[in-house]
Amino acid sequence: MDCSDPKIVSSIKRICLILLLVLILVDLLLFLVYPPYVHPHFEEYTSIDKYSFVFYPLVGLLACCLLVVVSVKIIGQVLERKDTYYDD
Amino acid sequence: MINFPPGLILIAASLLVALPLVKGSAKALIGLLSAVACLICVFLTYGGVGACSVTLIDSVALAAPFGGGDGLSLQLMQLNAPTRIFATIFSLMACMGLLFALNQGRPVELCGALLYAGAAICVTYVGDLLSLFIFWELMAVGSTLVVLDGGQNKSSQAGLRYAAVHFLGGVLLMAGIIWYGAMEGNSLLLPADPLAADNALVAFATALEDPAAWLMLIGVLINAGAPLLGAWLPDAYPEASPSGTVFLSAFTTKTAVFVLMMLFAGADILIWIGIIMAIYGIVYAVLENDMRRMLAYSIINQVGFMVCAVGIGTQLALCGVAAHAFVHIMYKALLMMSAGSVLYMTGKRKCTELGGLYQSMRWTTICGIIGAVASLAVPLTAGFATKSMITTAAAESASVADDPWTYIIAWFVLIAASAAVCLHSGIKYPWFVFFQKDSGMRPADPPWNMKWAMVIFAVLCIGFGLPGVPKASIYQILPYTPMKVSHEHGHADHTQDEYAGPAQADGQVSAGAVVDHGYAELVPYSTWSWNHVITQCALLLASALAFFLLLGLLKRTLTITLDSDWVYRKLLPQTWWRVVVPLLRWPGKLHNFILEQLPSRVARAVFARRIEHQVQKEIELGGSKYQLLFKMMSNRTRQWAVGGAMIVITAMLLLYVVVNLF
Repeated sequence: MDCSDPKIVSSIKRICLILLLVLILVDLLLFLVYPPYVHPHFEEYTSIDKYSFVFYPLVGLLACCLLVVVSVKIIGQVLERKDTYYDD
Repeated sequence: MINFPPGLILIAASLLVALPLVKGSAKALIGLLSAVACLICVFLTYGGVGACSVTLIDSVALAAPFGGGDGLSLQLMQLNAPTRIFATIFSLMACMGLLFALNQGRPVELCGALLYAGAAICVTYVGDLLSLFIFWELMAVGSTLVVLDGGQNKSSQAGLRYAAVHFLGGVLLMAGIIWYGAMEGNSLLLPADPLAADNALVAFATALEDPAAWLMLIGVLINAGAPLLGAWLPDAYPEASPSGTVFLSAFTTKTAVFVLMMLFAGADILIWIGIIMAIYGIVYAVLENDMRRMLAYSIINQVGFMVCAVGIGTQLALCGVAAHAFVHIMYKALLMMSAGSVLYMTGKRKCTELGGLYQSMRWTTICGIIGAVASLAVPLTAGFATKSMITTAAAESASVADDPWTYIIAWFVLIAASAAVCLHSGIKYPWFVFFQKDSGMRPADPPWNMKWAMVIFAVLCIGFGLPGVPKASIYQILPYTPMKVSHEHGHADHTQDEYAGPAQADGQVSAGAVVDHGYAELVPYSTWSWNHVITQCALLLASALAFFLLLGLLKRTLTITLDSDWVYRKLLPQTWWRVVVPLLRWPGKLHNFILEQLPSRVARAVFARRIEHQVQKEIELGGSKYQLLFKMMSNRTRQWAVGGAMIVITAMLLLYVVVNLF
């Protein structure tokens, strides 16, 4: 079974998305129903992580996307060479 | 009561293995048995250690500087705060690494690995800076042997570069130590508790005002793999053998982290260096094609977490460093073992040439996935119980520090970086090596010893993640008892004034000092809460989704990414050959012209007629005109060969004379 088959990759993406939505839902429910569940870390400066059901998934998605795009499109364009570059 | 550093067992074994007394397979077995003995001795030191000091110079012979007239002695046994946990994981790593290497049949690598591991364990027990340096250099020697005996195409070149960088780092460290020791009243003794209130050495080092402190820091950061200084790490680690890289991945960087903990805990610059390391490791790993080089960059990423936490410098942060180092060595060794197994069985190391191996290498795939999952800090793996200590420490420090935004930024970047782990060892490594496209290869699983080493570490990675197990095991040997601020009362209503760290001698409170949450309730640290489990899973699933969405961008090409080693691998050699050497050769050409060609031409011009007459005679006798000419030239002129070396020496002597004039 060749895992680079697009059907396999899209089914993995679908599974990840469904599980993620389930977790976001559970997190949201706990946030609404059980207030002591929440503990933002430094409320006096920023309450960025108060809504953890939004914060953590967003950080995961955006951080990875940003890092991949910056690495491949910017840093890769400048610093990549053929892997025989150092061979004399 | 153990009164010698357990690492000496391994060093003695390496000397024994170096001698031609026993044959290859017996050597490997001796190594493994000595590692088990070392591990037992480390367990025996938990209760306390006997004294072990070697006097180099007694007080009669020594005048100031150094110890102020008390003499100079090496303190080889001291139970420092982080000693137990580091020594335990180092010796466990040595055992598993030697089990993995049992069938490799490389005696030089075995000798080097034993020396390397033994010296690393000895570093964790040292009580003074000079013994630290001695074992630091022994580690460099041992690890160089491991790289040199790699058996890959470029092992010897990589080994030489590795040696050069490490010995340079050792020189810088030594310069810092000597400079510090030569100052009036400074003792080279290392305090056992880095966070105790009146440590002259730690205060000096953390303040980073003196060049001596900077020299020591740079020397240690070279070993830690800091950006710009650590290009040796991804250069040398892939060039070692399948088993060699397993050893290399564990000791050098973590010993550097240990020394940073002992000397530089609380230095703010380390927070920034750690953050940059974490991002740098991810960026380079995303672009990397060689699977073991990618894992090397992921080492830099994870060590960045540890360095950042050392910079935060609270008790919880240092507990986090120690715990994360413990778990990181386990899962990184597991990942390197699975990569080494793939290399051993297929001979291939590039992601572009691998793939689809899950079909035939079941055990390796499962162990590789367990290692990847542990590196992601998924709940129920070892990483979950330990990585969060660092982010919690960052968050707590943000609430009390003078400059909270440093800690808030650190907290945020660490959370983002722990999500982005899937871009290197978390998902990218297992996906591209074992899944992805089918490379057509069907190698079998590696031999029994390599499989068992992987399985044992995989079991430990899961075992240490089960609820209750870390608390009973890892948390008991941490440098301090891990405590966190209780969230039941909240801390939003406490003002800045109530947060006072312990006052220093001059009344100033340093930002990185132990945070005294005296008024707030401290509870034992626990990582198991619904919020933590759910948010961690959500974070990781989101980054997994991002990985598969961007799979097209992540596909690998036959490229490398330039790093700071470009300076000494390309810039300096090209400058030498294209600029400096022609400049050096030019006076040689001038010299040659003056002493050889000029007299020849004069001779030819002056004696031309006589030569022609003699040439005519020779032709009548049947000789060749040119042969005769040359014979006549060589009779009249002598060749003086002056190499480039003479020119350089002459130039240096001239420079010396000129400099001494002033």
